Amino acid sequence: MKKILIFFTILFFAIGTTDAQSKRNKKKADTETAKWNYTIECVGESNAGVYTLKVFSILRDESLAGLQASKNAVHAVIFQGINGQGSKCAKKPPLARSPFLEAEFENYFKEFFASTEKEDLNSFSKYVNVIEVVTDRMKVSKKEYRIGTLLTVNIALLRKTLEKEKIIKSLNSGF
Amino acid sequence: MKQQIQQLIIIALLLLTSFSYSQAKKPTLMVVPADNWCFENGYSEIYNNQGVIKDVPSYRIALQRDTDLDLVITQINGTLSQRGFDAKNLKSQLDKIERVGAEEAMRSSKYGGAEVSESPIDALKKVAKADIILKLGWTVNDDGMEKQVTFILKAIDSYTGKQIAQASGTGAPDFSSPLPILLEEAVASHIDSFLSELQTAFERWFEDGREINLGIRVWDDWDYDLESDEFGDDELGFLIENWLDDNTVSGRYTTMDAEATMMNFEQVRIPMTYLNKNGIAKGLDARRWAKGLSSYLKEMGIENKLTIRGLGEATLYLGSK
Repeated sequence: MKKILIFFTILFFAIGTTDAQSKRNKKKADTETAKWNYTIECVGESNAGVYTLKVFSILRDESLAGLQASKNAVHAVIFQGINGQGSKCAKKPPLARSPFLEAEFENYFKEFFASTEKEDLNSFSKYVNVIEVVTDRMKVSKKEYRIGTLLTVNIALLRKTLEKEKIIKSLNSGF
Repeated sequence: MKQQIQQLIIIALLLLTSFSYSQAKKPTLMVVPADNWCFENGYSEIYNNQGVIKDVPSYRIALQRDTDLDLVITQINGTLSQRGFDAKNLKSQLDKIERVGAEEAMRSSKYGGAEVSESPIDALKKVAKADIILKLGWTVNDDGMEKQVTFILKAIDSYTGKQIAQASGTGAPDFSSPLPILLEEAVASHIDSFLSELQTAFERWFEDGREINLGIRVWDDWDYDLESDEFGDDELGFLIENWLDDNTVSGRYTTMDAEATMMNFEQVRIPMTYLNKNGIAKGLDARRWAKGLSSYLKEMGIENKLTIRGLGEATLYLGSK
């Protein structure tokens, strides 16, 4: 009886600790997300509607690199656009046609960047395919790393979803 | 009470109908090769214009001889279709013009054997046309080892002849890929920024109105001219300008010429939609808009003739039809 009691106590604490750890990880990821601390460069564009990008995220925890880079890439594609890279890549304009889009649809984008379900159309992760989680690593301060991640973003599908949700206007809107 | 509710329902339904139809005319798009690309590649025809020999680009020859051109046009049309614009296909348009021409050449009237009359102006108007022409061209820089493609795509508004979007650039050097692949990459690389610029132009149309040109001419057998003040409290030319003030978006237009027998207006901003007699919003074009001015002049007792040149240039001839 005593053994069973000890077993359940250990099990309860183990579950509690795991749960607390995952909550801490999520909180950490959310903190990193809120900073939007990244730089991005275009690597290739052989197919129409798909960008191959390299994202350099500034992170404290390397294990978040893939997730954070995915968010950063989608964030850049929607709000910032991608700079040209000489003859390698032409400049890509952002999907947002107004600088106030992020503030205007704050709640939508909060949920959009929070959900990590691949099946969910209203989740950033649906549109990103990580090719290599860590391509470069550089210590930039005592606790922070600049981590490079190679990935592709399906911009055609992302644009379609945002147009359907009436977040951005389509080319033929008004006609 | 019951009647009032019924009336309210009818009004609501009418409003709903008018909103659901409030769409501007969708501009037609067509991709064609740029003139200088045609000349550089020898896709041109020589024709005699009343004694003057002219070299003109031939889209038909270009399509027949250059398979890469068809590939690039198809790829751009495909992207436009994905974004909600079904562009006119150049080859189909050329075939259509040829077919209609052949049919009309064969047609004669039932009794007299008379042929379809076609003025030289009508024949000229038969060239392939669209609201927005996308002109594309490319050059291949080949140093013997590597190939590089310089690509240029620009959108010309047929109404005004102004360039409303462009994309150009030179791709990365490549020593193994064949030309069609390099061209596909060039289109994929530039199409997003090009369509973004095009969308900006469309948004400007909705905000500031569609730009057209308007001309006023006077038949020489008319007893009056644009300086006559028999038609109101001012000279006719100023009355026309007053009408333009009231019927352009924010009263925006530029009077380029104002003489006794002619007036020219440029950058005339017309609204994208108008309310028809049933109160339903419909797309407005240069002809429909100029019809308003034609009716206004008729109300003053001035008989006139309305003609359209191209898609965005209306001319009114005052004095008779």
